Amino acid sequence: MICAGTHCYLMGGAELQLFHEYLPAGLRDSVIVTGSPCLGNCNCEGSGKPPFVMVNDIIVEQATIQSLLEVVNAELKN
Amino acid sequence: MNRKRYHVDVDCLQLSKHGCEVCGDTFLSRKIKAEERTIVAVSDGLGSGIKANVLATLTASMAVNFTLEKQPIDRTAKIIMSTLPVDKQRQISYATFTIADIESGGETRIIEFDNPPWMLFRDGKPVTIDHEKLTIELNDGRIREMHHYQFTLQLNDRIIIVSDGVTQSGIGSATMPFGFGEEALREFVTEQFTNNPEMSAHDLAQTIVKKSSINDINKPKDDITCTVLHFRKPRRLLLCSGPPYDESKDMMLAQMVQEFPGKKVVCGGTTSKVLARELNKEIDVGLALDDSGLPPASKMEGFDLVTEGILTIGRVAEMLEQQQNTHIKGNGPAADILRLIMESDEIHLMVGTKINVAHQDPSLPVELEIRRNVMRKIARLLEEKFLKEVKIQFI
Repeated sequence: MICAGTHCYLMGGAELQLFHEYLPAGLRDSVIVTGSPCLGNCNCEGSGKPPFVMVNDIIVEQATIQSLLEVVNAELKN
Repeated sequence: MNRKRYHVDVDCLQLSKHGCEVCGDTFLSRKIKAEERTIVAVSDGLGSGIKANVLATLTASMAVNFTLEKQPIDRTAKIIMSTLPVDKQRQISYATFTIADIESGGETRIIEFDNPPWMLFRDGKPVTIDHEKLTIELNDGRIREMHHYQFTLQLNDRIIIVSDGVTQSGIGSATMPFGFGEEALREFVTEQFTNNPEMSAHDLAQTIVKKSSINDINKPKDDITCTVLHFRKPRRLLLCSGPPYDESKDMMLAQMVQEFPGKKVVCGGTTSKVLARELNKEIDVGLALDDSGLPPASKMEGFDLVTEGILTIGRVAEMLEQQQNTHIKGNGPAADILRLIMESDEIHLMVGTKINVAHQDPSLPVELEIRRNVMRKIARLLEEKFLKEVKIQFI
């Protein structure tokens, strides 16, 4: 779940919305990409820096396409 | 009498004479909130191009301002005619005008000088209104005759004011050697209402201007202006942005939003989450990016549009500032909000005043303004530039 709130969007979340297209063809069917109006992490101290993405129950801070791919791969292996 | 219930929807579209950059007709309108009056003036200056535009603008602005001050009409007309500069080639000073002064209860006065007769449509059919003739003697002894109409508008009445560029369009062509004509225009408009009785002022003005242009084979031989006034029930829109300052007011906000009679737009991630929680609804976030560069819009049942907050309303304010008419081009959530705004008469802005702590991050762009200020700017633009009735409420 990708945060589409103001803060995350500005800090790089805009690019993440195309995440589905960056997924290797083999993984596209096993990953569902959705959005959230605001995950609410930006207002909690100590939760890290935006953009935030939630992969299953894991919160990824300062998410990039690269870091997301790694987390998604790790989650799929579990 | 529930005087406040009616709204005058005003729209005007223009086309310049082929080859002219500037339109020689001028349209001006003013809405006076305190008195609930709408004043509209349409003027056609002698000739075309810049010279005509100056004459028409002078005339229209004097007409509007004198009417605003409730000056007697003969005095207004006299002053206008003696003020206009004299044309070097033709040795005359001249501009036509039509002034409409409408109160929200429907009481209407129209003064017409040398423009094609304005038209009234009631239930989609043309209606004739009696007029009295006013004769005015100018300082140099010339006599001018004007028409004065006084009547009460009824719900769903439409007033159409055109310049002679419309009625004389197509002049000299094989199908209409004497031009489009008033009778044909009346029939044309009646036909439009038969097809679509709910036609908006904007659409009708656009249709008439297009038709006139086609009559002239898309090379207008004169400036074309069409103004439509629609007297109707107000359409309401609620624009809700920002969570309330105090969380205990979340429920109140949700209730006010739910009970609002009209279209509803929510701008803001947190705000939409608050509303979804209080009203027990799901938000479906779209991830489709478009060329606007704004965060995508989401869907929530019972709402016409759900968007991101400050970036989107910032863009709305920016677009309102640049927009010169009510025809909105472009894609994206901000353009969608603008389209909804333009379709509405009464806009309620519900502004949550809670400060988003996360937005105090110095790494964010400086364009990220304070919501309250942006919403105030939107309110001002809508009131002054687009003649909308705006109510702003801070919670």
